[in-house]
Amino acid sequence: MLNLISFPSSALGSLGQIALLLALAFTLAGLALAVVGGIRADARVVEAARRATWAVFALLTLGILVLMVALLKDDFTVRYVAEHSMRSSPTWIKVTSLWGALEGSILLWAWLLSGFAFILSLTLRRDALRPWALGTMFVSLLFFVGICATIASPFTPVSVLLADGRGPNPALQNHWMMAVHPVLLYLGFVGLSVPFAYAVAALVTGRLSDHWVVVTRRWTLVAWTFLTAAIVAGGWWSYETLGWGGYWAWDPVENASFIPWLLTTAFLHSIQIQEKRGLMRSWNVWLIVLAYSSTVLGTFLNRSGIVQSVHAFAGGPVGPVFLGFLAFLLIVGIGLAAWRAPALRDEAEVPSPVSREGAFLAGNWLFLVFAFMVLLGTLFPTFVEAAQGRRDASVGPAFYNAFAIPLGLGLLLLMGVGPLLPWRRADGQGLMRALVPLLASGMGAALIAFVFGIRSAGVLITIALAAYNIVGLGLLTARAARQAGGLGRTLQAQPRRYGAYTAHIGLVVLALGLAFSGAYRQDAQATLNLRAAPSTLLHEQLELTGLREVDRGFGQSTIASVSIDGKPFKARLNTYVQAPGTLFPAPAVRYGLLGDTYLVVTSIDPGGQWASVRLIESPLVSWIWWGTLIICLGAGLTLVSPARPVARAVPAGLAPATD
Amino acid sequence: MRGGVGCRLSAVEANSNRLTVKPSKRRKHLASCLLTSVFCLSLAHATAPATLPLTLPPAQEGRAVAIQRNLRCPLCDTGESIADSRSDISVKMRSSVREQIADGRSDSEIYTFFSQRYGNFVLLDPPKTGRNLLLWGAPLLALGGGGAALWAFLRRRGPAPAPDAAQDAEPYDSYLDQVRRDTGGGGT
Repeated sequence: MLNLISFPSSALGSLGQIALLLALAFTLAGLALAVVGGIRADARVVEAARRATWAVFALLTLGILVLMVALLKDDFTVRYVAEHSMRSSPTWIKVTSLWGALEGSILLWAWLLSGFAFILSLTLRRDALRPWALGTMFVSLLFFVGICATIASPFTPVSVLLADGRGPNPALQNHWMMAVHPVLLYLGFVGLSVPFAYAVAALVTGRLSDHWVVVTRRWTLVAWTFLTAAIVAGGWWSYETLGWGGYWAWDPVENASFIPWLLTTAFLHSIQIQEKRGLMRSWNVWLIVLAYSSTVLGTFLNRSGIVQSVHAFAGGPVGPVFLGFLAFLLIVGIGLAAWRAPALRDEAEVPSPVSREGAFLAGNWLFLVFAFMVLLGTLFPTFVEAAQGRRDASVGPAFYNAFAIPLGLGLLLLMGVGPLLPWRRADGQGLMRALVPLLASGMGAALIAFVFGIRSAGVLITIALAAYNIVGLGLLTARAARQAGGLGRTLQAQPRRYGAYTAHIGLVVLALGLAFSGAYRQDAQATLNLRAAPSTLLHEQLELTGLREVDRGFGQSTIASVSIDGKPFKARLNTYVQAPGTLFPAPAVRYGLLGDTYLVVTSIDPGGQWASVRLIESPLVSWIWWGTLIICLGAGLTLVSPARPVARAVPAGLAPATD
Repeated sequence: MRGGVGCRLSAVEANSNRLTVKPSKRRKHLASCLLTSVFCLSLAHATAPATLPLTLPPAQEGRAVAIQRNLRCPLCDTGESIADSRSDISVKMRSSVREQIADGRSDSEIYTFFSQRYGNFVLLDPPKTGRNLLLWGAPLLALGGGGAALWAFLRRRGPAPAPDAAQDAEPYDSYLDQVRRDTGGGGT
């Protein structure tokens, strides 16, 4: 039996543990109340369930505060602090240690989930969906609070009191991005639990109102924005710390965060069909159930160690529990959907293939194939291992790129045509007329790029599609501005439309960054001697100007000062006291609008005479980060309400969404 | 860079292995290659001043880099390719790839060479044969199947409204429908 509390050994630990156990009790009570309230349709019982979320949120806040205080005060009587923190770490590392290891990250997850449940409890309408949405949030909470209060509790007593903790994982101390990426990712993953709760409530009650569409879309959009930012922040972390000059390696855990992104992106488009036309209702519910399940699958892959990945540090005893939860979600989701499918039948007429709906559905098709491909590639080595009893297969970037590039280009193509098309049915000739300037500009851009010496087919197509998208959005905006009597006026009247356009432009910028940095990255290695003549690498003059060692208390840094064409670069090799033999490179990167210069030290002479370096030059990498910023701003803009949100939504739909 | 000599030596040793080991013979290579790499490491330390690596003409160099990107470091648990990994075995494998290209072997011969030594595990670009056809074929099937399903759905347009109209003669009214549902009058 698990020993959860020991009052004499740790006061803070006991307080934290009590908070978590009480939160668990309130979660159970809230779940029971929500279900009873839902079945009996008793508003007072539902109100009690609603207030239970407040208690859970307050108690988990207490738990997380206790852990933060213990980390900052170096209280090594608390197990998590003893195992994952140490005195000599700088304060920001101590703060980020809160989510630097399994127990803390589950607690953060549970806390964010309770925070979302709290916000939901304040915003839920008093309708038939309310008890079931709350109940679903309680099921998710029960799982996460249950784990962090028992098998993965950060507060269980320590057997031997340590004078100093074992310290955080070195890979996580190497870059400040570790303070950002996991939190954003959790906000994205946890954020999807709210649309999931609405989806389950809709399935249980068989009701899908206009209001359901509006709130589900908004919550999904919020989660999607965080997820987008998190995925790219993870890529940036990889770029800045792993020393290989890349940002995306199709690592299983990267894939696990990408699959929900693909599914939610598909959902954000197909929900608009439901909003405008009352179609695709059960499909949308399915997408949400799948997207939320895929976040749990991702966490399971991350935590169970069944896939090999750069995130191997995150392993722990909770893998089977996550697998159980995943199975539960899928079984309940499929069962509910099968039971309720007749209730979610579409009333409206099926759209014509050439229409906005048709473009969205074709996009959905590509997004789902994309998600399936990534899932298959991620799990294939595990399937082979299960069948053959040993690891005998790997799936690398060659496989993913073979599918991802054509699928991505196909999506860019649809992205340009979607906004041009009217709902219901497009007039073929009108569409062709609208497409001519787009196609012409795309061809023109590709031709110019070709003249400038670009020969890679993928890059040429990306450039053509980028021009085609930008010109399309530009023409649409110009026409709308002319009709509305000014750009400002149309922007004010349609923030949502221009938010979507902005996000599309961000995606175009990102796609160009991916295409150029993927195709034209240059890479060279050399060993530089101190006080030697400059050597030429990738047309740059490299000179090693100094080598020095710095003791940072929690580890050592060897800093190689290299001058590249006269500009100083300071690349580091860090070691941390937890892993004395392992070198963690911290590359020196000079960001530029047209390309980055990236210098990483691969080894340094212990005698201080030479350093081996790798110089990487990749064009347009920073466009990936800027593009993501534009996407997130655009997504934020779509959430801005126009002056009369409800009044606008209704006349916009040709056949108002049902119920 | 360091240990160029050591790794050149072991690459030569690997080359001689290649002649003696029958391709069909399967065995656990990981342990032996671990030993080799430790041996390589110790040699590397013994001969610190680095010798120049084998230089290849640009076309062959491009091939070498492409192959190195598609071979997985067999001892790293991060899934890195040998092109990106800094481990000793990756250094050794990189120089072996260059040696073999200089010897005039084809890409597939080089991949076979490594898969026989370290298992299919090192092939990051799974060959499109045998069980890997499932991997490569399933996304295509999904693309085709999904496309067919989408087409069938959009084609349903013509005949679909007829049965609905037969069931429910009055024109659809969302307000009426909502009232019906809220009063439990047959919406579900």
